[in-house]
This record gives sequence, structure tokens and C-alpha cells, in this order.
Amino acid sequence: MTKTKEEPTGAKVETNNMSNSKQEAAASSSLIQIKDLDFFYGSKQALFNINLNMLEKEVTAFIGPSGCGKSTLLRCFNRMNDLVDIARIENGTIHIHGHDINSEEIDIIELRKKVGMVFQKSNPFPKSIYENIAYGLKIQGVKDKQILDEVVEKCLRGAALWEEVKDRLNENALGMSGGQQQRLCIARTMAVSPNIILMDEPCSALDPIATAKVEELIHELKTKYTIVIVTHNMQQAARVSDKTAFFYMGKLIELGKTDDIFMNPKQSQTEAYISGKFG
Amino acid sequence: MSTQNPYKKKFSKNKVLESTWTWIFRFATYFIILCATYLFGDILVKGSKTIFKPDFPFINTTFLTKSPQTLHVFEKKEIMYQIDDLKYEIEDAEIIIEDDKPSPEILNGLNSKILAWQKEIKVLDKKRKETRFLYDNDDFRELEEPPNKKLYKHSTYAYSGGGIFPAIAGTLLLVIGSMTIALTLGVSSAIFMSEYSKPGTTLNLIRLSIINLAGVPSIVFGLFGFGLFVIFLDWNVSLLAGCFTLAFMVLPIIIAASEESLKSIPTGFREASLALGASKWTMIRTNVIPYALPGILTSSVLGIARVAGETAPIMFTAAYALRDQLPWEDLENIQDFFFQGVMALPYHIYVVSSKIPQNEYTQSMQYGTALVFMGIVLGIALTSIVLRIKMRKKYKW
Amino acid sequence: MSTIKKYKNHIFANKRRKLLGLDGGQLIKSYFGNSALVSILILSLITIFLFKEGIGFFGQNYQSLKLYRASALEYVDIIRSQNEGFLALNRYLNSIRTQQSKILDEEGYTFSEIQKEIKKDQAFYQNFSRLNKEMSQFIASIAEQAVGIREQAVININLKEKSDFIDDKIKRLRKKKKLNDSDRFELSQKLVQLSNTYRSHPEKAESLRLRSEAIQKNIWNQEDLNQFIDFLQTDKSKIAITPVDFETEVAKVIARSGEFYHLSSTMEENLQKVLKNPLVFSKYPELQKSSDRFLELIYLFLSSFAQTKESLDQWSPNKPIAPHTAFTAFITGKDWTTASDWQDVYGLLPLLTGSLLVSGIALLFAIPFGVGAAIYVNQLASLKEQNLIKPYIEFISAIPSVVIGFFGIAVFGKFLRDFSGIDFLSWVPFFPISERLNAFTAGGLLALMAIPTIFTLCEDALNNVPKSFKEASFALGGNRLQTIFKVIFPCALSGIVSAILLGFGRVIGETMVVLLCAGNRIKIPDFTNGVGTIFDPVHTMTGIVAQEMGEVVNGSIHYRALFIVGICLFFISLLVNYLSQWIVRKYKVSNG
Repeated sequence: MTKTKEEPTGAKVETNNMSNSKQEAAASSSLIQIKDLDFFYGSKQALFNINLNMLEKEVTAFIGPSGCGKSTLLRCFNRMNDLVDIARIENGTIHIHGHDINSEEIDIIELRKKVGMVFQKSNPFPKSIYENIAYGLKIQGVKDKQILDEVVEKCLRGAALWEEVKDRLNENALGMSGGQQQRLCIARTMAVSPNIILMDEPCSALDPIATAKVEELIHELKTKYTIVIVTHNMQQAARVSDKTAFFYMGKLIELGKTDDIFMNPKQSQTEAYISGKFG
Repeated sequence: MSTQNPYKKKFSKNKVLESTWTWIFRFATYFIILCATYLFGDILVKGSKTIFKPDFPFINTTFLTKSPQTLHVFEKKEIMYQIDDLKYEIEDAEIIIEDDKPSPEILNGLNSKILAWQKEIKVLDKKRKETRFLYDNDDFRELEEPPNKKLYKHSTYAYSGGGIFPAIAGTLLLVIGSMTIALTLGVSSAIFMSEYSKPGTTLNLIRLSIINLAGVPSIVFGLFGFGLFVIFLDWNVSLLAGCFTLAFMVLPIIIAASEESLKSIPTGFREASLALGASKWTMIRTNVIPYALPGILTSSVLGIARVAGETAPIMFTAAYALRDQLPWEDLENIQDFFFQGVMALPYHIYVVSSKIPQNEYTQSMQYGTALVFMGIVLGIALTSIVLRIKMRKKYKW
Repeated sequence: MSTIKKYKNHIFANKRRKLLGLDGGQLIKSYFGNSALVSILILSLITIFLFKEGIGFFGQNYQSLKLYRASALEYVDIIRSQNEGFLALNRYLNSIRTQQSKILDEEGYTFSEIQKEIKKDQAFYQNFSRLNKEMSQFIASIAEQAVGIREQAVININLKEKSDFIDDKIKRLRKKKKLNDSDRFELSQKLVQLSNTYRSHPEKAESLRLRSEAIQKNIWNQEDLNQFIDFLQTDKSKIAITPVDFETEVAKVIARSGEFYHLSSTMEENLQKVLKNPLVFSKYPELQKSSDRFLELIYLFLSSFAQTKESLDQWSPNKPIAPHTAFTAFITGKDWTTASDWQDVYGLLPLLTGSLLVSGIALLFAIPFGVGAAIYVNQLASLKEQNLIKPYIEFISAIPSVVIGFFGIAVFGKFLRDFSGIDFLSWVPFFPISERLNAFTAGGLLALMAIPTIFTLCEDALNNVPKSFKEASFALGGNRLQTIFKVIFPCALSGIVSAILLGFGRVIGETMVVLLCAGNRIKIPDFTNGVGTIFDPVHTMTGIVAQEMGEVVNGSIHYRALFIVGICLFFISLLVNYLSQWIVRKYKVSNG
């Protein structure tokens, strides 16, 4: 399919409380900048002209109905979409730290070290808890046992898991509960000291108590990391995020401070979604 | 009160039918097991007579360490004539019983006579076994004076003396060589197909042809190996030609099984690894191969059992019916090692069971070889089955 | 400049080293890619190679068929076939004779009485078998004549090849002006031979010998090369090809047809006499029936004479042979005769029927037992039984085929023959069996090999039937048997059929068991015997390749014929595989 682009719909995006010039200023200081992004799966367009900026140490939540493209966008940030053969970016750029991450010079591995990711289904490796955390460092060639021990402890503490597992670091990670596994995955991500952590519906497979713990963790993490979280659960978005972006049919409908989006949505589609009229 | 209980057990035709069929199916199952067990038992019992012996070290070391030789047997003529005479007597008596239809008294007399003769034969036979001399070819040549020809009947049986060590060595070399080739090529191809190549028609076509080639009869692979290696590349009947032929035979199986076990690893492991900043190769090395390895190992153990057990592919590519030297003896240079024909256990069984008659002297070689061979192959197969059962329990994701 | 610098330092910059313009990842990828390529190449090579070696068969077969006609072997075969008819009659008569003695034996006659009884008819039997004595002699002599023609033709072909070979060599030497190893060896041999002729001139002989030694050490000059060419040319001139005058030679053979017709008419007269004085068994209606049938057969035989004459008259050595006959003669050929002094024939049918018969017998046992056991283990057995039986049957599949074949020779064949010989079973029409090794022995053992395949795959197929189906059936009040037959079995049917097909594939491709136990008689089994046919010894496609491949001359028609048999096997196995996959795909039960 060639470029049979529709009328740019991104123009409709209204950014709350920000004038054009202010937005530009924000763009230059923001950590992630997305400009006019069009994304395709084969001949099917999945994202339409996305423009989005995210600031450092801020939690941004992506909400929207299934198949609206929020996960796809998330996976663009660390180029996980490269694994899908038919996926391609047709147009537009993504800058992180001011670098175009899709350019030839980018080492995808270095990128992924800086942009960590937590998946929908917790996926610890069938190794010990210790090995799971140390994996990221070990593949970078860190062999010093002392450093590894330190990092493991720091990360497990960071993920509020240390007290629960400190006695069984050498047990298989698959023996943990679902919530623990997910927090282990977050801890594992932290071990490679990323700047950004992407979370793709991290709580969708967890029970409410485990979810609460993960959410608590996100609250703590945002002092150190920039977090982008995709969620189906609007309450969750309201609880954990500073900003919220609403996607619908591959388009970014509305972006704003979380309170504004939930209390006072500008777009009728956003309102309809938030009030549960579709979803 | 409870006379009208509708749930009470009742007799019905259906129930009889059900239990009849259950018994039929059960019979089928146990009949198979019985047949197989009889086969195992027969070879085990008769074979262990060759391999084990009652005195120290309890294992017939000659059989396991020597080359096959002609067996020389010397039996006392006197005893043999006696046995023959008695056999004639019995035959005559039987003909009389058959044709003349004698009166009951005579019949009884004859029958008891036959019984007595048979007993006598047994005694004589035992004596014959005690007095006979058995020599391997080597021993026979070293004899200063062979037993007196007037007293002893001298008979020879090809392949029936000595042992089977060259065949064991040959089989091991063939297995090692072919599995090295097959695993290197097969596992690498599987990694490429499952991790690197793009799915599409070409890959499906390749996969389809590999599955189909796995079902091609082994003799066709033998034919191919003969045409390509032995004739076209002029390697002659050699270890190398046999290794390659066997390797190609198991290649489809190894590729298919390795790909299967690579595929069974959840994509989550791959994604998580990549998201942590692993390069593709690091991801494969640390997070794919280690988890696929047990599966690959199981399939390759099964491949070993297949390679070791096949006869047809090596019949005219690698196997010699008889070769005294061991593969590493009398070598002028290194390549001679690869370009020599070897003995192999399966081919040896074929030779001793089809080319020499079945009698008490040849039997020990036949059953002994069969037992050793079956022991090796089934041992490998058992390892693979046990491995797989263990793995199923251990790895569940 | 500044942009490059910026990229070099920024946090996502590529820091890995490169080799040949590829970084580590790409190198590794290309290694695996090449491995895959090699594997695929090898596997396609198999197909290509089988064809490369096999396809030449048809050309050679065509030549052989042409020679068969040109040297009048075909003509003699027409005459022979008539004689075969007579031999068949004689065999029938012999069977009457055995039948007679058997009936007498059953009636309680002793051996000597039977001899006496049969003696009355003995003259008849003997006279009949003597009727074709002269005819046989005639056929032997005319056959010799025809074979002589063919031999000469074959010799000529070989000589022509030899002279062409020398021509090629001379051409090469003139062009390249170099002696290679084998040339030098040949030349030095020839010089030594020449030196041996110079007995009277020892010095000359000595110098020749020295030259020969020098040449062996690779010291030679132009003169030696010319000398070698001279030698070769004398060799070539010695090859005298006397072309075969097919026309006159064949005419000589045809000229003897008068003799044949004369013998035929004598035989006809004699047979007419037999017809007038047939065997009479008034006491035994059964024998009488056979005797009447014998007369009928004689009539039939006599009526075939006219046809033979017609065929002989129409026959001409120059009639062209259609090229496709080389193919059809193979596919529909009823004989496989090799290394004979007559005509070698390569026909697939005896091997194919043998293979199919053996496989049929194997499946006859393997299907009920394999499927039955799978149903039992999957649906009826307790968990404990399952965990024992499943690995055990899998274990059976690992028994090497050659061990099973050995078991057949050592135990099973003998057991079968002894079993068929016990009096209790004498009512079975084809018992006792005469051959220890026959299609049934091989088939029974192959069943043991096919059962694990069928069992394992069937079990999988039964396992794949969704549990909900079974539960639904139970919930509706079905018992276990009804559930199995009405719900689970139909759902798993496609899997079971494909399992059976794969079992068939395994059986038909199996070599060692049939090679050791099928009896190896190359003949289409005589299906007129009814069920007794299964006790005939047969030969199979796999068996023939294994048996004859080691002994054939490389590149000969026989060698290529074996490759063609291999190709047939290859295609059969592909077909079986394809069918089994197709069935599974087409009739897949969805889990939804």
C-alpha cells in the first residue's frame, strides 16, 4: 500500500492548557517526542499521525479500547515491533533523548537497555530469582559477584520484593505467585538501569491485591524513572498516572493531565469511553 | 419403600457389550506386550548364555574383545555314530507304528523302547558335549597337534568363533561420526529456520519437504549414499561414506525435532531478553538454546538409536562382513582411518543370520550379537524415553 | 563532521566491532543460514541423485529390448511360450497324481499298496511327460543360435567402446602432449612386454627396460609420447569388429520354423491320442473331475497352436519398438530375471505385489491390535496401566529391524511351520505350510514394527479429541463404550487413518525383516490359491535393492534398474506421507 493517507487527524488533538509556543518549548525538553507517526502492519494502518511528547519522571497512561494502537505505539519506543516482520513505520519520527531511534546509527541493543519494558503476561525466565535479575547485567559482561549481589538486592528492594523473597533467591522464579512474578519482571527491568520503563498492561493478569502492590510500586518508581503504562483499567490510569492519552482507532484523540481527562474531557469520544458508553 | 429406586444397578445388554469390548481391547494391548516380551526374553535368555559365564569374571571377555573367527569343532566319532544309530532305530520304530498298525501290546513295547532310546541319546549327547574340543581359528593354528582325525570328527563353522569387538567398535564410530555431522548441520538449520528466517511460502515448502523426507525408507538413503559417496565421489565402501549416509538419514528427523523444541519456547522469553538489551545472538544463546536443549537432546538420543539400529543404509556404504583389524590398527596415514570399511553390529547380525546355518555352534554367535546390539540400541532408546518423561515434568511453561 | 561525532558519542551508538563489514550478529546469522542451505541442498540432492542414476535405465532398457528383437530372441520366446503351455499341462497332471496318492492314503492304503495302485496309471503319466522331448531339444538348439547372434552383437558393442576409448586417449595425448600416471604405467608395461620379445638382442631389451623404469619415475620425452601413441594405434588396429549381419543370421533362425511346425503337429497327434484314451477314475468322482479338467486344458492348449503360428508369421526383426515400451515393460513386467544367459528382464510387478502382500498381512494384524490398544490405553486403562504400557510400546519401536528379522529366522518361522504342522489344525486347507520363510512370517513380524507407530499416533489422535465431547456424552447418559464408538472414535478417525497410513509407510519401506524372512522368491504370488497365498515366499522392492545392490556392475542396466526401484519406493513413501497429512488437514475436528 502506498501512502493513501487520510486528512491528518492529528490536527484535531487539543492539548490542554498549553499554547502552541509552550508546547514547542515542552517538546525540546521532553524525553520522548513523537512526530507525525504513521504505522503499518502489512497494508493495514495501525497508527495515524501521532504527535506526542512525554516529560522526564512523569507517568503517562495510554488508555483506549482494544485494538486502538496503544500497545503498538508503546512497542515503537524500544523497537520491539522489529520482531514483527510485516510491521513498519511509514512516516514520522520518534526521538528519545533527542535522538531519532529509527535512524541507521542507532544500536537497537543500546536503545533497549535505556528503554526497559514490562509485559502484559509476566515472563520470568525459568531460572532462579537471582539469575533473572542478574541476567541483564550478565549479558553486558558484568561478572563481579559483589556488584551483581548489590544490584539484585537494590532492584528487589526497589520493586518491594526483597522482604518476600530474600530467603529464596536461588529458587526457580516460576514458583512465585503471579503478582510477585510481575514485580520480579519490573525489578529485572530496573537492573539494567533504564531511563524509561514501558509497561504493557502490567496488571491485566493479576488479582486486585497484587494489582494494588504493583500500582504502589509504580508510584515509588516515578521518582526515578519515566514511565509509560498501557492499561485497560481507567481507575488504574487515574490512580497512577500524571498524564493520560486516549487512543481510538489508531488515532490519538486526547492528551492531558490525568485529572483533566477524567474530570473534564474535551472530546466527546473520550467522554463516551470514560463514562463507559463503549470500550 | 425403596422397591422403585430408579437409580438401582440393573442388568442390561449394553453393560455386557461394554465389558466384552473392554476385554477385547485389553486383550489386544496385552497380546502386543506379550509378543514383544517373548522376543526380548528369547534373545535375552539365549544371548546371555554367550555373554555371561558361570565363573569369574562372569562376562565372556573373549566374545566382547576378539574378532570373529572360524570355529573348529572336534567331536568324538564313536559317540556320534552311537547317536546316529539310535536315531535310526527310533525312526524305524516310528515307521512300523505308522504303517503296520501293530497290536496294542507291541505298540506299547515299541513306545517304551523309543523312550529308552531317547533317554540314551540324551546321555550320549551330554557326553558328546563333554568330550568335544572347540577352537577359535587362532587357537587352532597354534595347536601343536590337532586331535586325532581317526577318533575325532573335525567340522568348521564360519563366523562362529571369537568375538564381535570390531563390530562394536565400528558401530560406535559410525554413530559418533554420523551424529556429529547430523547434529552440527541439523541443529544449526533448525535455529536458522525458527529464529532467523522469515515465515513464508519458502519456509513452509522447506518444512514440508523435510517432514516428507523423514518418512523415506532407509534403503533409499542407502541407495543414495552408495550412488553419491561410494561411486560418484569414489570414497569406496568406507567409514566416511557410512557416516554421511546415516547422517543424511537422520538429518530430517533432527531438524524437525529441534525446530519443534525451539518453537515450544514461549515468545515471552525472547521478548523479555531483547527488552533487557540482549542482542539477537545473546538472546538465542542465553534464553532459547538452554531451554530447547533438553528437547534437542532427547530427539538426538532417539536419532542415535535410529542410526545405531539401521542396517540398510550401511549395507553397501560402510559395512564389511569380516575384517580382522580394528579400525585404528595398521594405518599408514590419517585419511586411511576415514576411508576404510568397518564391521558393524547390525550388518554382522544380518550376515550371521542369513549366511550361515542355524545350529548349536552358530547360535551362540547369533544370539550373543543380537543381545549386545539390542542392549545398546534399547539402552539408548530407554535413555531418550526416560529423558522425555522427566522433561515433561520439569519444564512446563 | 559534527553529526558523525555526535552519533559516535550519543547513548544509543553502535559500539560493536565489525568483520568483513558484518557485525557479530550478522556473522552468526550467516553461519546458521549457510547450515540451513547445506541441509536443504543435501536433501534435494537425494532426489536429484536418485534420478540421475536411475533415469538412464530406460534408455538402456530400450536398447536391450531392441537387441532382444533384432537377435530373434523374441522369436524363440514365442516358440518357448508354447512349450511352457505343455509344461503347465504336465504340472497339472502331476498334481492329479499327488491328489490320487493322497486320497488313497486317506482311505487307509499302506505305502506299498498306493505304489501298486498308481502303477496302473504310471504308464500314462510317463508317456505324457515324454511327449515334448524332441520339442525341448529343438528349442534348446534354436535358443543357442539366437543367443549366439546376441553375444556377437554385445561383443561388437564392447569392442566399439574400447576403440572409441583408445581414440579419445590418442586425441588427448596429441592435444595436451602430457603423460599422466595411468598413461605412464601403461606405457612402461608395454615397453617391458616389448623388451621380452627381444630375446636375441639383450642390449636392446635392456635399454627398453631402463626406459620403462625411467618413465615410471616420470622421466620422459616427446619420443616416448609418440611411442605411446604408436602403441595405442597398433592396439586399435588389432580390434577387428566383424559386424553382425542380423538379416542373414535371423533368417537362419526363422528358417527353422518348418521344423517347429512339424514337431508341433506330431505333438498335436499325440495329444489327440491322449484325448481319446484319458485317465479314468470311476471310483473317485473328485479325481475324475480333475481328469476331465485336464482334457479341457489339453483342448485349450491345442487351440493355442494356431495363435502361436500366427504370431510367428507376423514377427519381424525390423518392426520398430515404441520408446515408451521401455517404461511400460518395467511397470507392467511380470518377471525380474537378472544375470541369466537368456534375456534379462526387469519388471516391477513381482516386487510390488510382494511388497504389498507383506504390508497387507502386516497391517491386517497391526490395525486391530494397534488401534485397539490405543483405545484401551487412552480411554479404558487406569492411569497406572497407562504409564506402564505407553512407554513399553514406544520402547518396542526401538527394536532394531535386523534383530526382529533374526528372531524371524531363528524362532518365528520355525514356530509357524511347526504350528501349521500339528494334527489338530490339519483341517485348515493350506496347512501344513512348506516354507519356513514366507510372506506371512515377514508380515507377522512387520506387524510388530508397525504397531508402535500406529499405536502412538492413534493415541495422540484420541487424546486430541476435546474432553468436552466426552463429558457431553457422559452427561447425556452414554456409557463408556457408546462414548468411544459414537463420539470419540469418529472424531479421531482422520488421525487414526493417517496413523494407519504412516504405519503402512513404515512397513513398505522396511528392509531387513523382509530381506531375512520373506523367502526371497521373485515371483508374483499365485493368488488363485486363495488365502493360502499368504504363505508363499515372495520378494520385495526393498529386499531386492538390499540383496542385489552390492553385486551389480556400476552403471550397468541392472544397477540402474535398482535405482528405479528405489525411486518407486521414494514416491510411494512421499505419497503415503502426503495422503496422511492431507487427511489430517481436511478432516480436522475443531476444538471450538
